[in-house]
Amino acid sequence: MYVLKNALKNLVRNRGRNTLIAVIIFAIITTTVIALIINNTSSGIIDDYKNRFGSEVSISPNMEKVMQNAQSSQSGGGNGRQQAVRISPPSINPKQYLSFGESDYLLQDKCTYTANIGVKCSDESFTPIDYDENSSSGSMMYSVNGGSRPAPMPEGDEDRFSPNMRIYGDSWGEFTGDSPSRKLSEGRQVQKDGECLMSADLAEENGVDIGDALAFNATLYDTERNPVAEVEYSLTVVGFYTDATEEYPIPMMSGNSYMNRRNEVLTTFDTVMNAVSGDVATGFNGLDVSATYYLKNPDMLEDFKRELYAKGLSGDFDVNTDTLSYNKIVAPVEGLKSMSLTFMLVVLILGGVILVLLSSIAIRERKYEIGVLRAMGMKKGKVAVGLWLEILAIAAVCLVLGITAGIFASQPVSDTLLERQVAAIAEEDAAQSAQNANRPMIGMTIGGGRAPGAGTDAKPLENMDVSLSIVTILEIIAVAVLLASVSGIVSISRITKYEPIKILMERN
Amino acid sequence: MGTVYTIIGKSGSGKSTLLSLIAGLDVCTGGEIHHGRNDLKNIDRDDYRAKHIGVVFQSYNLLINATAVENIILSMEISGIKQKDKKESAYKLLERVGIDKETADRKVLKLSGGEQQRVGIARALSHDANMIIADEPTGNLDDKSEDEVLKILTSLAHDDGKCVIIVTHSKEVTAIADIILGIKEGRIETIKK
Repeated sequence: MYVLKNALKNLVRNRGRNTLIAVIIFAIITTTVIALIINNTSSGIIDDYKNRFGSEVSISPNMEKVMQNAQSSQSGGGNGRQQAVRISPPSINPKQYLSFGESDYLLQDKCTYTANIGVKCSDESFTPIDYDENSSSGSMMYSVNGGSRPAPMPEGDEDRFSPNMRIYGDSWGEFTGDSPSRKLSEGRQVQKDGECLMSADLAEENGVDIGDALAFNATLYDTERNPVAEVEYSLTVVGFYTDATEEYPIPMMSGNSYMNRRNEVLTTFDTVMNAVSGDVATGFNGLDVSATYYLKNPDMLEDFKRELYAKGLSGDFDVNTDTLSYNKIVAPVEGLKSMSLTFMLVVLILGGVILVLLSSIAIRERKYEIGVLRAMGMKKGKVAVGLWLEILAIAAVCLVLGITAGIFASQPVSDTLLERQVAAIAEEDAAQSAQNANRPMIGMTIGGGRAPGAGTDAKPLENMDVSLSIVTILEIIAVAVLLASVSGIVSISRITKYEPIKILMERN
Repeated sequence: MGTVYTIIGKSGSGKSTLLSLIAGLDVCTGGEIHHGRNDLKNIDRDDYRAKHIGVVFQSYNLLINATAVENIILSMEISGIKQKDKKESAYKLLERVGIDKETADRKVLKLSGGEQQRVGIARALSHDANMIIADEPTGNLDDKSEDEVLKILTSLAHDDGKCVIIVTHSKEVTAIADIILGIKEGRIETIKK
């Protein structure tokens, strides 16, 4: 106890020297606090974005490969004349989608599946909005992976089944979120298979009431345009929805009832899929299934890829996470994190060296005092503990002051650094865009999916609210104790060399 | 009644070395020094210095940034004295060697040589050691201070029954001795009573 009391008294007795040490420790702790606050906050943000962007998996066709395959397969049987290359877009069997979703690498709870199928109402008096029987406005669509794109009806296919509206399975995303684009206007949500929601506009046009049962039918084709399945649905209308979006997501498709969002009938995924029998692939056939998978950890992407290809996914598909958005949003924060970490390391190393030197000088100055204490019978260990407690007490005071100063300074410092990072990334982006503008386009996607590497609308993170967490406080305390101990070790190692008689004789 | 011993001899004869050995500040390479039945080589010498011996140095060897009373209290703490009001005891000790309360609360650095030496004696007495050893205790003092310090040391032996060993060159100091030990080349050659 007296060792502690004496150590605390010594803080006041040796004001000048201790103030100098305190200034250095304060500077080290303040910069460490700023760096750690920025580093930990940016780590949190990066982890969050990593989970959001790094783990959502997209499966999209690699059109460059598809075109190469098409060219190579047709050049072999060619007759020497130049001919048009026929592209067969790759497809994924709905069963494969479900099988992929069973992977151990995925968060099963987060995986979602949606399906849509082009249909006609079996009741001929039922007319979809904008449907014109004579203009074949409901032309066949093909799609892969979520989107749809019209294609001209090939010659000789005039008798082919032509849907004029669509049934969607488990497409409820537009009813949720901060500003949902679809709202239930009447009735209730779908609760079980065989129930459906219909747009209020479509119901009004056809005099449909809640509780009415409607039959729909469709014919599905294989990629060679041969019919493979007849599908029939019997759905009970349980509610109506209103839609705040445009009727046609693609303006050039106005007037095509198949593309009109008001003609979408919404039911469950199982309702759509249970009616489909046989081995039906998505693509040109009229049935479109899409899945959203989330990896448990973004680092599992390569393993997941291997599993998908082993399960039969065509090599024409690329499996990716949304790294582009991730990089664009997170790059400035990562730059900030790395900058703060480097800065902290430099300060810690430099500060540590200065502190060790200063402690060394201080101990040399206090040699006489140590000699007197030892002559009085104080043990080496207690002298060392006393010196360590002194520097620990200084570190404790500096810790409080440094944390306070760091909290106030970290936000402006973070803002300034992030601003510079964002500006640097923007310059880099502009240079990249200019470079890309001069390159020929080598890829495309079908079905509205984004090809890996395509441009992203993601905005870089421009504001970061830094805050001091418990973890950061513990880290700072650890740094302060480490600093005090490092300089304490210098003291202790010196003390062991000092014998009281030698010190006192030297002085005398 | 205790005895005042003085050790005299020429410079380099080994007076201070003998004192350091007795004080447990140094270890002898030949021969033995016993405290009671214990050889100093085999005991905890820090503990020995803290509890069983009081040392008065020519250069005082006090903590100069601390006050006089703090020096005494710290010595008591190191000795492990279990006393409730150490500060009060420290003031009494200092008063006994002629340091009043006001002077006792001043930093050692601001005290005169005589005052510092008296604080040094008070410190040597702080843990009630039976043996007080002093190395040239009056070497840095004027005549008046020298007289006062010698009176205190004599009183410690004759009134308090302590063994006082003084290393000195001074005839004035030798004059107060009960026994004078002459040392030459590390050996005690003469003993006078």
